[in-house]
Amino acid sequence: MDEFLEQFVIEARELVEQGLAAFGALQSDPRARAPLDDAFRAFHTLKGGAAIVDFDALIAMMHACEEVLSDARSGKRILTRDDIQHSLRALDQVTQWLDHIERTGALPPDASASAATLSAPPSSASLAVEPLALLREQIDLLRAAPAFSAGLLAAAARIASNIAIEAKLVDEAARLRLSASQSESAGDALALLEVMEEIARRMSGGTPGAAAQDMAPEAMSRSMRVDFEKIDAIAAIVGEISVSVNALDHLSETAQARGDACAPALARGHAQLARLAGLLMAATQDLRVLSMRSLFQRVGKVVRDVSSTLSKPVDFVCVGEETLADKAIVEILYEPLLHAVRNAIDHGVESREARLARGKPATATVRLEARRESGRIVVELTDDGGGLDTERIAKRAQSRGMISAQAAQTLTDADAAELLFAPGFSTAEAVTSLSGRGVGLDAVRGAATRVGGRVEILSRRGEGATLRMTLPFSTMLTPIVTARSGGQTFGLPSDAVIETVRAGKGAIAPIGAGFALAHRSETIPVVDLAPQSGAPVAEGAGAVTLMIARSRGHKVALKVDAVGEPMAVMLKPPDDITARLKVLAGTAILGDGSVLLVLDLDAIAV
Amino acid sequence: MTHKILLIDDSRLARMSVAKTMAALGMKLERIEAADAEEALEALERDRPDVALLDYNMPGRNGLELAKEFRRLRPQMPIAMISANHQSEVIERAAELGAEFLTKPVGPAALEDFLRRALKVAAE
Repeated sequence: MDEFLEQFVIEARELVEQGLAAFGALQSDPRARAPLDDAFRAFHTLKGGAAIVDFDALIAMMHACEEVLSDARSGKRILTRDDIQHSLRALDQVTQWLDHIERTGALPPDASASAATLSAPPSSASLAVEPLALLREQIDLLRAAPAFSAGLLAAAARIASNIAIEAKLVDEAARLRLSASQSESAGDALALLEVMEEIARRMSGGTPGAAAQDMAPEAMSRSMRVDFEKIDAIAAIVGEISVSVNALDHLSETAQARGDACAPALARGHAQLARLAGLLMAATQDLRVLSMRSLFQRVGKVVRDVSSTLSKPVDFVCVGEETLADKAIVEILYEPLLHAVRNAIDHGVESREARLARGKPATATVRLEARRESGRIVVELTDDGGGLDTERIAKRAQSRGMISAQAAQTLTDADAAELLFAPGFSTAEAVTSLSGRGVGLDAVRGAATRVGGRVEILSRRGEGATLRMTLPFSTMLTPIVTARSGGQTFGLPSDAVIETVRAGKGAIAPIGAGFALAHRSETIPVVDLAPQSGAPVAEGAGAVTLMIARSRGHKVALKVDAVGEPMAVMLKPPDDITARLKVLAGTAILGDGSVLLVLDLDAIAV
Repeated sequence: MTHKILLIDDSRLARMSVAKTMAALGMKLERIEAADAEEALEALERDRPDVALLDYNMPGRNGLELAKEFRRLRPQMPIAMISANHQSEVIERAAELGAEFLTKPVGPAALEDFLRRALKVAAE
């Protein structure tokens, strides 16, 4: 047996022992710091050793195990029984392989098959042992950085340089060093990025020799890079197809009603098309799906920058970065989250002294969580600062004439949270470079409701605050419920509709200038939809139909003539003409060609 | 002139691997090995190496902490951190200490490139 393999077996056996001991401790306490570190290091060093003796199957298996431990160490994940079992089984497998090597003096031939069946728990691992993928990863990281960072630039340049040298692109390595210092003086990464991208291009196709050497064959065939614009273009066409298919549906029903001879054939044709259009829509949505990973990384970077600028130590915890959502949704989240996290650290988190005086740990915790909840994406940003200062908000609102002195006295925490969403509101005394610039919470809420989502702030006085954004999984189709009022059909985001009730005349009473519904011991203001859109009001006696919905954090009862179907539509944002109707979130075309007005419930005047 | 390279890694296998790569470079190099922070500091004192290669992921004091120690004692000595994991934070902090970063497994071209530049500095 060659001396490397011999040494590998000796060290690997020790590392397996270390791993087993660590997992023994983790079984009683999966969060214990030291065993987590030991377990991680065991896997990491085994992976390194495997690379030295060219034991590919072991590299892959250890990489997956190492990722799980790395997430556990950073708090992104808590080890489950399953995670521990997986790891122990992996260590068993390693022992068997080591026995084989000792017996035969060579690596086990069927190793990759066993490694595959021992599928590790889901991890978003990019193996990154493969140079081109690593280079692209660095390019993405550098591109995604919200602000210029000399450290990030230097790191990316270094890694790219190593990769270039190994790929025998010596000239490029020199150009990298030059462009890195150019970028540093210029204060932006463009010069360096250009060279890095050129190297990536050359590695992936320019020089066949280098490409074949550096890229694992699997990596070439499994994925390809496509511009987002191309996918968006396809999505738009698919949307139009859906509209046409709906029109056919309408035609088919008309034919049936008229007893037309071709009605059955038309119905069959439509059904087939509808099925295919549905598949096409799903496949296109799938193309646009991203994980929250890069978003979380950006937020993390902002946390580090702001925390260091303000000298407020902050622990950043991420949960659910592998959550998937449509690209358009992820993009909607960027600005609000970056703004919110700056605010949280600047205003929410107290100074070190204040925190200690309150019995809180000196280091604040900011937690970003994303999860899927029945077809929606929920993203929450939570800090353990002081929560919203209701008195301060009340004073501010009063001085701006937004509420009366009376209301300011009795303002609840929940109402204060709602006030923050009013246009132009800001509790910052001055607009600093960090916060209060551009993205107001009203714009955040607007962006969310336009796609059928919502934004809330939950505050626990003295303990912290949470910004919660609930968004549909995809913007391609918005789920709505239709309703007719005053001869017009409206769409309401189904997420905002709580329930529909039939109320007898007695249940609605005049209050002030309007009407209110007494419902389940609540008093809910009644809004007649028709006047909101300029359609004539229908005066009717007897029972009325009311849809109880959420508007700006409060409940509202919308008086309608009839409630229609729930459906999913492609929402077109308001254009120049329809934007004059402030209550519109957008429009959609129905199967019969008519235009559906989809309402922005937060814009409804009560 | 023969240059002294201090190689620090708790895994003997890893040191063997770097040694093999170094030997193939055809440079006049003398190799000094250390398996942990104590041995490394002793070697630094006793053998006065010209260049140091440190593994990042070591039990006890990791490579970065050791590099900080080295910088106190030998502010100008060329140092390279070696690691399989490309965490930006590690690379940034290594850069702050004036240390380079090499990815594991260390390829011959990357090692040669680093050593040639490092030894030019060491000669000054």
